[in-house]
Amino acid sequence: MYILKTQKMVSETKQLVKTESLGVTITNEVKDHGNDPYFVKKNKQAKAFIKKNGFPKELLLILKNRIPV
Amino acid sequence: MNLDHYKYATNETFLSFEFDSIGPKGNIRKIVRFSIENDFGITYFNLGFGDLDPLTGICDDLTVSNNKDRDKILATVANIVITFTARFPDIMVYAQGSTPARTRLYQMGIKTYWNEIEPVFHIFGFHDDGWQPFENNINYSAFFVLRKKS
Repeated sequence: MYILKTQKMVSETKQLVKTESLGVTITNEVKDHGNDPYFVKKNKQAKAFIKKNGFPKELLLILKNRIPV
Repeated sequence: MNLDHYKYATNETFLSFEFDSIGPKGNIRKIVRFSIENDFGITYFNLGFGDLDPLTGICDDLTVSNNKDRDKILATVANIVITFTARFPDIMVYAQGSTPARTRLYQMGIKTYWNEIEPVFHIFGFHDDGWQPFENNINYSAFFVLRKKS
């Protein structure tokens, strides 16, 4: 059982919405970081590794049996 | 997972997570980022982990912050993965450190928290040119995890 708690705080310049769910705070103060050069570089490294070595076949089979056709 | 870990936060996308490491080196903001990727028609998330440089606002993991809280950080990252995959249970998560030492750190975390992790995840490691189910006494160079069906 998870407790959902919502707290709305309104400041003069911006509206901050803070929610707690599943043990994690959800807030628009956390930035996206998707365009951070560090993570962009790591994603390129990941893609290169997977292009070379592929995926675990057993995991693909598990997923295939899991998702309805 | 009831192990000691830092409180962490995310935004509505659930793709970026932040928490503060607290120790002798002060407060160090840690970032865990799940980036969605697709190769060979298979969608997966790439897990990235690094320190946020407060001056530049961008991340890196090349500095050894050494805040004497390695186990707590590992437990926090494990909790974040559990939280994230509860939201996205049917997509694999890929993890590889920026250096072999960082990858060994991930492996250490899996090994340390195996009793908490194994019931929740299928875990595979890359070794000897192939993917195999995770075993404690083998050094792997990358990992894939998938949430088990409850």
